[in-house]
Amino acid sequence: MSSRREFLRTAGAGAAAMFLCGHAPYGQWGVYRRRHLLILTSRADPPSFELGKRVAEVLADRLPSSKAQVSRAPHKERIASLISSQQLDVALMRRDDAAALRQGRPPFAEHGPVKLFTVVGIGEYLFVCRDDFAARHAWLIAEALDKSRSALPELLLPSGSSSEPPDSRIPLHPGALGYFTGAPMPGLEPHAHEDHTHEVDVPQ
Amino acid sequence: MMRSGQFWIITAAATLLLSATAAHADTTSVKAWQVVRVAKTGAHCVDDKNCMNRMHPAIKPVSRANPGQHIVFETRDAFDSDFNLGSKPEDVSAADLNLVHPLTGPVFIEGAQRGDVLAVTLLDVQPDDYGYTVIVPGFGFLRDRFTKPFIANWKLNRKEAVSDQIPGVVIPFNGFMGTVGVLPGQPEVATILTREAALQSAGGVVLSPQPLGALPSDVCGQNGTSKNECLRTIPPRENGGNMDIKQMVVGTTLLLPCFVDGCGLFVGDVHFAQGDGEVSGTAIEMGATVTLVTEIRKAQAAKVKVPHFEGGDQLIRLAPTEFYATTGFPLKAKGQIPPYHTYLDSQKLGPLENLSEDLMLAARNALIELIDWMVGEKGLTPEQAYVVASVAADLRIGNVVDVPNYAVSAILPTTIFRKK
Repeated sequence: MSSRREFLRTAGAGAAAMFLCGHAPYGQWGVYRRRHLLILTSRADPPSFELGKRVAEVLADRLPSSKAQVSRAPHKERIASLISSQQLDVALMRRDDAAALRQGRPPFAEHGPVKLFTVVGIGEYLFVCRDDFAARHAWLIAEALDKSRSALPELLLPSGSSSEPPDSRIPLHPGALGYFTGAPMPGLEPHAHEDHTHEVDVPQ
Repeated sequence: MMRSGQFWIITAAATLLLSATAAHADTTSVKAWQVVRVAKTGAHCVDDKNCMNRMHPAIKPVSRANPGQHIVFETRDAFDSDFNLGSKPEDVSAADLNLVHPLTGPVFIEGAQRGDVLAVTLLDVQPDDYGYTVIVPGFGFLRDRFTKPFIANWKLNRKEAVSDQIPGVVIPFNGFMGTVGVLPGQPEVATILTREAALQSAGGVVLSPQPLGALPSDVCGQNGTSKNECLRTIPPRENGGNMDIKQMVVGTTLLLPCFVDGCGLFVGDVHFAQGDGEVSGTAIEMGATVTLVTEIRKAQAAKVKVPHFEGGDQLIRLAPTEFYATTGFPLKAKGQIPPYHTYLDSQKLGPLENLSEDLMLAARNALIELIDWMVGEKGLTPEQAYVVASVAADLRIGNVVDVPNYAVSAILPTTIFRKK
């Protein structure tokens, strides 16, 4: 499916803009981020890591161009640090933690508030992203997980015309909302970072 | 005049006193040196008042020492990480790169002034029990070829390092400070920021000041007084820093130009072992306890504008007793642009199969040859071989005159390979 193949053309658009603004901690790190959907979990919360592995497998199967991988931070504060500093884009967080980060409350006071949105809910966890996460990607992820309900535990998705998020404190990302309300997949967004792709595309 | 009886009583008492003293002390209690210890407190740099991860002249000294005093620095690993023997690649991808490098200091050296040279002699490196080598995607000399995270966890002692991730390989101990330097002065900060901004605008890889995660936060953090001027620690500069030069071993003396009064000496990012090139981007990274002694060479900075270092026969023991080596020349496939040339206009470079006077491409080719050799002859995976090259293989310049093909060799001590 061409839309899936195009997933990565705009992946990490936030990182791209950041690179050009000179805010990227490592320009080369952004290259990797653009090619892999790194799903943050916490080593201090082992179930989140197991769930992250399962979600990455599902996405690798249904949305292979996402090159989804699980990433394991030592603790939830590191998740907050990586998301708020735009080093990584998505995470599996427990609902109360996601709400605390969105509101900038302890234990995330020094990292927030972060404009955090929900893509889907999975059991006790929310698959969250920042507001600058591409709508097209949120739409594609929501679709991929929606069509893999049997492979995931307690997938909490809005249904039909409902636009209610799994947790009222964390609104749905516009891309995910669009999918669940029947809107067409958003178009590709401008990708200012394209001229750096050759850093990892060297023919051998 | 003392009477005979008094004399014997006093003599006996003195003898008893000396005997008693001798019974309660041995040579261990004899202290020859004054020691200043800059201790590590808390789990991470953010918890430690003696730790910083940015450079700026406004950073206050955490300790003071006289020249000649031994200064003991307790240091942290380069990523300020939570890695351990059970760490896996998925832990690497969650590293927070804003925290690189946690450094212990700065220490004010009494009597040192701007314009002096600070001579820093490395006396000892005591490694922690654990170290790691990682492949961070997008970082490292072959970043276009090694695009997945990898970690080798090493068990360390003062003799050697072994890893379950690379069985059959034993890396000898050659500890040194990956990062050691002095604070830049205000004029140097201005010059550095200007030139690095120009390079960044030309597409070069530059790390701009980043207040997120920056320490000390009162100077470099989001509300810090100099948050837009605090220098990142990845590039070494005139003030030293992250030089990653494996020859700076115990017994050698590093000469650093001093840019602020007291110099502001800092240490960190200690390496258990590293090859010349540190090609994967990391050595065997570890926390360590480092002992130094300093000397001030007054008004010598005009002669030492960048770090120099001197020593005796320390480099002899770094030479391999048996080795295998590959060579590289600046040759490439048509259409290929080496990763480090992508910021240049590549219209000319692309179609060429031979670049002119290009040591980087020669080094790259020598390294790729060596990795291929290790994969083919020693049965390592490419990732294992890349890591082994990073911690043990030396990229050496053969010549810079035989135009257009300068030569680089990659030399690997074969004594590191043991039976599995």
